[in-house]
Amino acid sequence: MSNNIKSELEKIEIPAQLHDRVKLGVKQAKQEKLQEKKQPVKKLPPKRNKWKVGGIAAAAILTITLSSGFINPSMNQVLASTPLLGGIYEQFGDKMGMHLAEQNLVTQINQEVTKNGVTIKLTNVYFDGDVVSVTGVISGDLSKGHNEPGEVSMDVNFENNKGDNDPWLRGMSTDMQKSDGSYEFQWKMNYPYKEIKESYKLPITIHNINGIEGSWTFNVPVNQEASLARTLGHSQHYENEGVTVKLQELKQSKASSSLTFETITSFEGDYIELYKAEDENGKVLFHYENDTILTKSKEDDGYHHTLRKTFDQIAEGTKAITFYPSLTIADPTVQQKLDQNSFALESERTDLAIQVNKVTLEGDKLILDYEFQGLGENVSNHKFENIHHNLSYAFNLIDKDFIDKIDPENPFPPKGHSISRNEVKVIDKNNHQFQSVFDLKGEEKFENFLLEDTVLQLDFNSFIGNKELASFTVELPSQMGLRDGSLVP
Amino acid sequence: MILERIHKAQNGDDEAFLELFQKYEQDLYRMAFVYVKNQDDALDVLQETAYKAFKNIETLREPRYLKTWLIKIAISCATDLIRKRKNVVYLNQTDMELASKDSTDVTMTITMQQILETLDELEKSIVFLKYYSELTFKEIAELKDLPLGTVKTTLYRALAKLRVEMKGADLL
Repeated sequence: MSNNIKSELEKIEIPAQLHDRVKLGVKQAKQEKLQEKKQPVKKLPPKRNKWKVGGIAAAAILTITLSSGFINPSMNQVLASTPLLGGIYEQFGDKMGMHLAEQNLVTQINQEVTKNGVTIKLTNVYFDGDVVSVTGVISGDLSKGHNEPGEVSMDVNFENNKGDNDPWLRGMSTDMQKSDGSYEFQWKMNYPYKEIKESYKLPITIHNINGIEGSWTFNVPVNQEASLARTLGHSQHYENEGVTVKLQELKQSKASSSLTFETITSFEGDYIELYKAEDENGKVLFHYENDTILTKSKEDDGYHHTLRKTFDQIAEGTKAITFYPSLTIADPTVQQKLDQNSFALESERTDLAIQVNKVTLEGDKLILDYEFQGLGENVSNHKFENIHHNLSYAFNLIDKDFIDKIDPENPFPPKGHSISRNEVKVIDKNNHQFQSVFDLKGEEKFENFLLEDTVLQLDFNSFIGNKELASFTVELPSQMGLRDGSLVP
Repeated sequence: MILERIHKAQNGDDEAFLELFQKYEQDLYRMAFVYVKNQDDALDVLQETAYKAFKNIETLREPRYLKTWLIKIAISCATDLIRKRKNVVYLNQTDMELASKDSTDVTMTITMQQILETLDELEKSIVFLKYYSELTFKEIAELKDLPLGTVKTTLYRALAKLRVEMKGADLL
């Protein structure tokens, strides 16, 4: 077993730039040491290395990075027979790309644009199910840009969208490899629309590279062979939770499968996850795969989301799939003005509550003494540790005049008028009593603090566990799958 | 040789320090990745680890503890990064229940994804230190500043979550 764990951990790929980043850290420390000999200096945080373009979910990166670890034995054969094109995908650990290259389902594009001394060449594209991949090479003089040596960042948009308001950027991941003075990269995107066009042109615009402005524009042909789509039409309702899952369609593509489904919840913000699926033999088909959100709407019966999940191809002859859903509820933030010395903050949708027994202002520190109620008896040490940890993030102190100025879509607390961190001490573990200390002049600063003008907000969500819902099984129509590389009805 | 390099590094020789660090950087990177789960952040953690380690190399009194000293710094940097991002640890009922279930499943092959997605921070680090860095329970307990029993219990819980049939030898 230990060997298995070790070999699995060894599959974490070591990026080429690792040693350069270590050197950067040492260089920074060395410079500071030299300066400190002359005069004390404030430590600067390390500069973030932007390999990726904005809006990338960490989980999406994980999926890509991990895929390299799951090359099954049959892939050796694929590799052996596709030395060139497959190799491009192999270096990014992309087994889907390797499978498609083997089947000659990758389109070579070779479009090249040079602006301001930097050349971008887009080399290959594939489209399978809802996955779109574009590979390319950046070459030229990147030293004129803002980034440090070895760093590459790109600002890209698709379909002439602007900024982050681009559905192609949701869940997009970028992987990059240095190669003889140039950088090879792969973008992977999830097709963001419900109806998939199997053949289209995708406009791509890169606005800047490492801060070097320009407009590198491309129009990339994106094609895939017809997928086999099966209507599932299964609806699963959970009366107690007031939620429904409707499985709509299971699609089989050349190298992947995708499931389109709809969730309906009574409360806004509740989230149903199909976290796992197994076939009739217990083989796990996916486990915590990302969803692409296709549509959102509010209708008479609740909040609707249409989602798509892409996973490895399911085996030919699969007869049934069992899905395991879980529900995460959204509990609204509660708040209380600090013009009272004791009060209760109560969760709207659970029995949880924080009974604040004392509010003390001591110099630049605001101290809250409180009891966490509704946790039940016999809270395990592990759970208690998590609660203790999460309490340091759960509260926000905000100047009452700034509450309305927070953008609900992007709810950052107002700088200089709020504190979002606190130090938590356990006062009485058995009775769930804690003390939170807010430093009003610490890393975050609260200008002109007055107790009576301050609102305390509390978000209970991190204390509410996911609820596992009953699993359900769906029989698949017969003859599901791919045979000899061609689709069968 | 190592002693000489440590001595040089303590006197400000960055080349000597880099030679020392290079021996461990891949292991430290994998450790960081287990925590932060993506390449960008793991690289940030390593840069910060190298920065802090060289900045404070004078405080390393026992050269034989260099490896665990570096691991400790990397864990601290990874944890800091997670907390700065406000990645709160969600209490997951499923995980809690799994931990207490008597597993009758057959032994499964553990995948990286299971390790990353199923285990919490502490469990991941103990699994990593035990099976990857191959530290003893005692070394892990010292490194994590935890009682020996807690280390064992945490590992047991982590393995139960991974639904592995445990072999007694692994817990001795």
